[in-house]
Amino acid sequence: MKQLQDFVHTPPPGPFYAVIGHPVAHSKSPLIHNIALQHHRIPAVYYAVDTPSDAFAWIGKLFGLQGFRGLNVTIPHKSRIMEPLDLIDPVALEVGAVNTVHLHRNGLIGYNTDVTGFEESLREHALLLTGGRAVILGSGGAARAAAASLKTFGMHEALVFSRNPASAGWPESLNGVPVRMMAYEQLQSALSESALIINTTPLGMHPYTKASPVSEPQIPFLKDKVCMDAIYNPQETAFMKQARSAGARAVIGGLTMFIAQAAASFRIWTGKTFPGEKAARAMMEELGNV
Amino acid sequence: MAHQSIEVNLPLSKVYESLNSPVDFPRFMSGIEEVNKINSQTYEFKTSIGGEEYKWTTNIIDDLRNTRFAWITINGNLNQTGTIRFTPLENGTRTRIDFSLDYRPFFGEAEGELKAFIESSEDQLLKDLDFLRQAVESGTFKEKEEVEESEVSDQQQAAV
Repeated sequence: MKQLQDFVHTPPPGPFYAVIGHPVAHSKSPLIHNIALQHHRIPAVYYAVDTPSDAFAWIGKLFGLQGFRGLNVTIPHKSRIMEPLDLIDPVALEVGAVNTVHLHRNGLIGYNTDVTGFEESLREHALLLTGGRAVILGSGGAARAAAASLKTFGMHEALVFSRNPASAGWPESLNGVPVRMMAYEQLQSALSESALIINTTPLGMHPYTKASPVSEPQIPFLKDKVCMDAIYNPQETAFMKQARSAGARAVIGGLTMFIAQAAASFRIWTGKTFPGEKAARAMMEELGNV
Repeated sequence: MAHQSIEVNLPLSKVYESLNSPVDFPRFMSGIEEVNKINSQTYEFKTSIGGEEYKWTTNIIDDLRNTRFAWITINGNLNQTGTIRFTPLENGTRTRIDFSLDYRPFFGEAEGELKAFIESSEDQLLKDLDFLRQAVESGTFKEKEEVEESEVSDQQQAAV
């Protein structure tokens, strides 16, 4: 895989999309976006471009390449990418992160489709969420996107759990959703009074698949809740297994969210629908081989 | 709040481009006389209802390309909120537009002509969207702007 500096020196001969981040070799975005591009017979290729922090300075060169059509951005550049853009979607501004850049005739526009990914994943259960509270486990960028998505469902508060609530640096509300920072000692009571639990921590991610942010005594409090994990590898995390065993009303995995955010990016760039089922099948095959 | 939906025989991106700038709203919304851009997120709306002038400033709160566009009023003498959702139909070759529009006074209840204006907004929105559909499909909606853009482009080319 090329690093950004090499990529801009020897760019692809035709139109291209890319994801930048570091590390980015594990990214499944090229897999599903190239499926979508081929599905619609769009003559372009999607690449993963490794971009360590010191290589970010080359981003302007990438934007200036003749074949550049659009960009996804992942850790650690989701905030920094906002600096060279001409316009940022208000929701992305509120979240403080951009993961999709669109090349428009008026300039470069930044969006946050992680918010859309959460919205689309939860939409089917909207009736169970309206007016309720949500527990968000973790306080990083994915947690902020998750909190911002709650507005769509009219949820009245996000209880955000952090190992260091005082220094997490969250606003009092995000995208109009009031936020309360909490410590993990308060998790049990918060679970009991919430309709939705979202895990945005890396606990349970491959290869540490036995880990979960929810402890054994807290599992019964997942009963009748909508439980979602942002992790897609493994497809069934320890947290999701706990939720199923407790009798959760719905259990949603990160694969749904991952494809939904990709679909939103693809729609921004091309105006076309994403072949979600085809992409999901390819992802399942790929993850099965991990 | 008024809600209306229409389907347009044009691809999603083309329909979105026609509707993502409030300055174009007076071209199809008969209840709005003028919209001026203050900055990329802020627009000033003007209209008159029953001889009284209404002026309000809006902020775009959500603009996800090819997906949705929403705004709220931040000050003025009429409180307008709007959401437009775009849904691709038939693999993106046609588009459904779901338009929600709400008017209310900032204080108290609407009375007289303003009340009638608000009560008729649902029917009016349907008429406006039907006009929009015809204008967008026939290519006349942004005709003037495209001519102006192409003139600018010609001038730029001449300058180069």
